[in-house]
Amino acid sequence: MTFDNARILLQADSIEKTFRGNRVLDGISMDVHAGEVIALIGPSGAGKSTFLRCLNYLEQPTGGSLSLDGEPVFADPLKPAKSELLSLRRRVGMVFQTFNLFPHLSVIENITMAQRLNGLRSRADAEDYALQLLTQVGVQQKAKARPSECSGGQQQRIAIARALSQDPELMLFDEPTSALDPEVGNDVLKVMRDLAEAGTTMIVVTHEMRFAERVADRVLLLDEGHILEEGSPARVFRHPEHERTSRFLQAVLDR
Amino acid sequence: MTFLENWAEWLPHLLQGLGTSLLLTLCVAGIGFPLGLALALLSIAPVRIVRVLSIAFIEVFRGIPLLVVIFFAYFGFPDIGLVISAFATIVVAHSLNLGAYSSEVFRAGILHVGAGQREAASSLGLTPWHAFSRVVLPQALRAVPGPLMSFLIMVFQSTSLAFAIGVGEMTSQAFSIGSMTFDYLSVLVLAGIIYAVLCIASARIVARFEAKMRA
Repeated sequence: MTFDNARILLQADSIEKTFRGNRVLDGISMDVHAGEVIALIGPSGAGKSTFLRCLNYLEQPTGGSLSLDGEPVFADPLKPAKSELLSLRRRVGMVFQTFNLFPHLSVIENITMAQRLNGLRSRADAEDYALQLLTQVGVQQKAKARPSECSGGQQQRIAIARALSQDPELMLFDEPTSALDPEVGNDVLKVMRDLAEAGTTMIVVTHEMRFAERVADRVLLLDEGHILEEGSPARVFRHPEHERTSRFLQAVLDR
Repeated sequence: MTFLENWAEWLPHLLQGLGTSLLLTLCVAGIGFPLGLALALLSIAPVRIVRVLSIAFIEVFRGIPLLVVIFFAYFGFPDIGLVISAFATIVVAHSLNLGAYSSEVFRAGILHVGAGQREAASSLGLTPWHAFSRVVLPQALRAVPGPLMSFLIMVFQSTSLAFAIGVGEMTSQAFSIGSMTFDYLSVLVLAGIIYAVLCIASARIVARFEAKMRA
């Protein structure tokens, strides 16, 4: 599928990040079309997670700018206003490697809390929607349980439901299966594949090359803070332009 | 066995004093713990001057012995036109002391909540206040009951300092009995036993509670 004519949902323009003089992101630009699934791959330390976290400003970039739907997200990207930050984060959902569910709340409260506090839905509607999302990710039987009573795979699927509860236009996944055993990781990947097929716009930092190959519309290989290789999975995985790409793919596929 | 007869005669007076000791403990905890939480919040506030002032306050009241604070309040308050009962003076002085000490427990509880929790709250578009009040604070408060109960036992023991300004709690009751009978040792032994029994029993309950929280 090509997205050349699709609406550009997110535009990242020359995103830079410097940590104490150490340049982690060297001006990364990327257009994300509505409905597109992008896999961010690359060696550890390449800046994949940092770049992803710059997209919802959990990490504030030291340069560059973001646009959503053609509108700049921040009047001044280096001095984000509180309201601009809230608006960005309500439009962009995020799933973390370590789930980060709220341990003091039940599973369903994890999913209803932000809906209610952000004024998105009433309590009753939020609960209905939470149950619907839990059914969608296959964890509805755990609605009343605590996160600690759920397996890792269930917790990550609940975290996906929690992020979806904000009706995000874009979902960010930061190595969502890296903390999981392969067999439960597959349950999570299945949920993500379903989301992709339903047309959810997604950016996924991942080490799951099979997932990237089968589900992503576009693969970006980051290396040392810039995009080394970019293209369809078929092109990046079978006909990489750079020697470094081949070496990286060789190394991960050998594992 | 005359001392047993004496004890039987003194016990009601001591228990009356014990009532005052427990009431003091309750009042001090009721003001001191909320003060501790407030100080903990101020000591991590985003505004630097607020942080500096609250940390200074904590350090000062941790540094000055409680008895000195009590005398300071007792003799100082009237000088600034504040005339309150000896009981209220003790409650104020002791609450300042407890607030300063317990703030460290609250602070540790807040800092113990991981960055991932804050990030998850932020990523959901919660306002900083909601992220703090609904995600960080409830988790922080789950870590504090054990240490706070230990503080409560210490507060109960330190209420004996109220004797210094003539509040009729258990130690001063023991002293007035001693001054009438000249048998200080015997009545203080009885008071000591009452303190110890209550404290040891409470400490055991705290230990059991903490074991349960860990399980």
